[in-house]
Amino acid sequence: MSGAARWLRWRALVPLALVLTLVGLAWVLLLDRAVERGVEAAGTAVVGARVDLASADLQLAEGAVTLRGLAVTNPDRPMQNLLEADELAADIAVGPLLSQRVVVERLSARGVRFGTARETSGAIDRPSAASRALRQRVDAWATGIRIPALSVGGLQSAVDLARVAPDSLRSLQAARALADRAAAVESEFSQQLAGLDPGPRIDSARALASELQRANLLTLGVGGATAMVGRARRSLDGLAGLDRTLTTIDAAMRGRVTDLEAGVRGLADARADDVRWAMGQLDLPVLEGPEVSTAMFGDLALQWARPVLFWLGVIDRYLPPGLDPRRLAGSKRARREGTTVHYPGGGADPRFLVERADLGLVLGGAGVAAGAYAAQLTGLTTDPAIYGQPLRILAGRTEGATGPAALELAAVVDRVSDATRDSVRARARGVALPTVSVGGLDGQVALGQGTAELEVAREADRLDLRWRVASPAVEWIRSEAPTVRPTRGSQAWVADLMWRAVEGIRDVEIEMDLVGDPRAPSLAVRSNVGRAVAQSLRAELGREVRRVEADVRAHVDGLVRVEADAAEARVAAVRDQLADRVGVPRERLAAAEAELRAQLQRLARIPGVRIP
Amino acid sequence: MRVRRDTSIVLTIVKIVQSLVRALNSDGTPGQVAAGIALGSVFGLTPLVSLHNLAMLAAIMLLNVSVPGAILGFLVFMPIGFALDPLFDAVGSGLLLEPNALTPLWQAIYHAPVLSWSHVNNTVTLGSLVGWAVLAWPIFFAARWGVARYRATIYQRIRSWTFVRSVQASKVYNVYRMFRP
Repeated sequence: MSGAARWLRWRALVPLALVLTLVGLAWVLLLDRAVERGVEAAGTAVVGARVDLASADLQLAEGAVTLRGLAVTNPDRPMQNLLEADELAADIAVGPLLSQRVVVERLSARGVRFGTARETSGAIDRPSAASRALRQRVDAWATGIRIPALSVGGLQSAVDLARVAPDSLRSLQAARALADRAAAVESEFSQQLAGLDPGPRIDSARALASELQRANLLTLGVGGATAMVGRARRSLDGLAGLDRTLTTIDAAMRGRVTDLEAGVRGLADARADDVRWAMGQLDLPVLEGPEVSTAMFGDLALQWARPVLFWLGVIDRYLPPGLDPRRLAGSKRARREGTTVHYPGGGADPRFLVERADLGLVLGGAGVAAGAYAAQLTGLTTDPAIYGQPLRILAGRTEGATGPAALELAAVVDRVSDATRDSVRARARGVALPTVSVGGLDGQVALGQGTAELEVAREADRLDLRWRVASPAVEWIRSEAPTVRPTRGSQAWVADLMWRAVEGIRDVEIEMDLVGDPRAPSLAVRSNVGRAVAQSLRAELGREVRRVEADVRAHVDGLVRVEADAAEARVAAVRDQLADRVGVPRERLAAAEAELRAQLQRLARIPGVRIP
Repeated sequence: MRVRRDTSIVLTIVKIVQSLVRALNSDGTPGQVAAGIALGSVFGLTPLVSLHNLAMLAAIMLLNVSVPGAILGFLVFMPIGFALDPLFDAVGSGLLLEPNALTPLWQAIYHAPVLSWSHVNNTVTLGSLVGWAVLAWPIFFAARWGVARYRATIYQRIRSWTFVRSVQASKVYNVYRMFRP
């Protein structure tokens, strides 16, 4: 038997061909289902909530895919769809599929709707690790945002100043640290001056100057005069060396003293911070417009901000700049998922690319915003650096049901280079705004139909986001009007005061800013309602607040004064020592040097006397 | 539900025993049975739905190795594969996540048409494939020794059992003989 015959089982060729044919047949039959599952799995991993697809139809020969009944759950509201699409038809490039690349040359969507209700919850038990981490990060950020409460309870009861613990005061710690630093500088100063007693050397120079003044060429002779001049020169050299040493010490110590003096000035700032902090500890009300706006609409702002930050995080994760290998969780299976590494570049197509998509959006209902809209999207890709073009989205209204409502959206997500540059401008007029609860107010405000605007500018690691909602005709809905006049200072009294301040306001504007690090930006809220309420509160409570503020300030001052005075005294002592032990000797040294130099010049004019 | 799961476990055990009996009692040499076990173990040690497993299936059918041995290898090493997944993940992570001399190779496979479907850019897939490549020879030698010892001792006693004889006389057994080494 030949070698090949011994090792190979030729009779298995036919069964093998049969098996491979069966595998191929199963692949063709199950391909649509595989695409359906793939879209659902990938979408679910990205969104962090269920993505459902009714059916998928892949025609490989034509390079066409049709997805029907797409429903993407809103991860923040599992009983609502973020969007729903009746049909998505895509022309795909077949060649890149051999390398696991999905290049959609053209995608058109029909019947896209937003915010539709779901019959079953779209929440998932085990979101992908990336989605979970992102959600946790956003939640942690939201938890860390302090929404002040509109309570005036602290004004009514006797203010318990004992709650302001001395050890918590920053100015007290700063004063102690400053005193320690001053002592250290003083000690260092003394060490540098030790063994450097300039007095005798200055006195010696001055004595020599007097001797030179009295010198007579007849008694000294030329040789004696020359020797005396030599002594004077050496003394001058000694004085110059001493001056250099003192100058060095003076410069160094002046710098230290300047720092200490800055520390003294900083104590005043720290004390002001402590007063503010102590006011916060005592639950005293804030009466400034921005704080009142945050107290009233902070929760609402957080509700809006959370999905924004979540989706920014999703974009950062799935549309990253650069060509570094991407590490993503492996696909779900019975075995461990592991980590899948993607290597962009290598002259290949992007891993996923939608070159152009035309979306037909429909807003239902009979409101002024109802009607048909069109959106165009170009350059959606997981590898922007390879594609070389930013993602652009444009949307506008094509057909209105009634009224003049408008939607304008222009977005550019530029991750082509390493420097991220994103911008979004969206404006929707005539949209149905929600009815929202207002912090501190015993009721709600129905914002009705109004305008919503979003502006986002992202440059590298800085985010500037502004969200503005305006409504010209809001309706204030009070839960329950008090039957008796509430006690001044009670929560009901505050609610009643707020109610009186806001009930006449029909035109409402609410603005939210997210600024700073995109992962944890600072939140600011402004509203004309907040300003009005702040004004009312100030009119009613301003005097009480000022009184309590004065008490708190006096209390903090009392706790800090002794230590702060001690620190200031220590710094003053260092400054005085610098003047006495360096400044005065330097002045005396300069005078002695000038005197000696003058006498030397006088001697030099005598013929025959040689100055070495 | 519980009854169905228990039944499934019992059926799996029965299949393993059947494969064991068929493999060990086949007319193939211990080397052929051991080669079947070593090649079949790839199905158990690595994620089943993979391009390399399709190639391995073709190899097992074409090469003169024991098919029951391959099935036995698959069934025996499947739980071992699950158990070793953390180790495979670590091995794959070491090879894929840290830049090394093999990184250009992974990149080339990742970008190559068809080969990119092999999923060797996944840490568990690559780690388990490397793990199988390392373990294949030890599995082969251990299996060959075990089969030889079995045939020399236990098989001599059970070959006269009625049950064994009736299985060997059945039509199913004739179909199986097509692939017997």
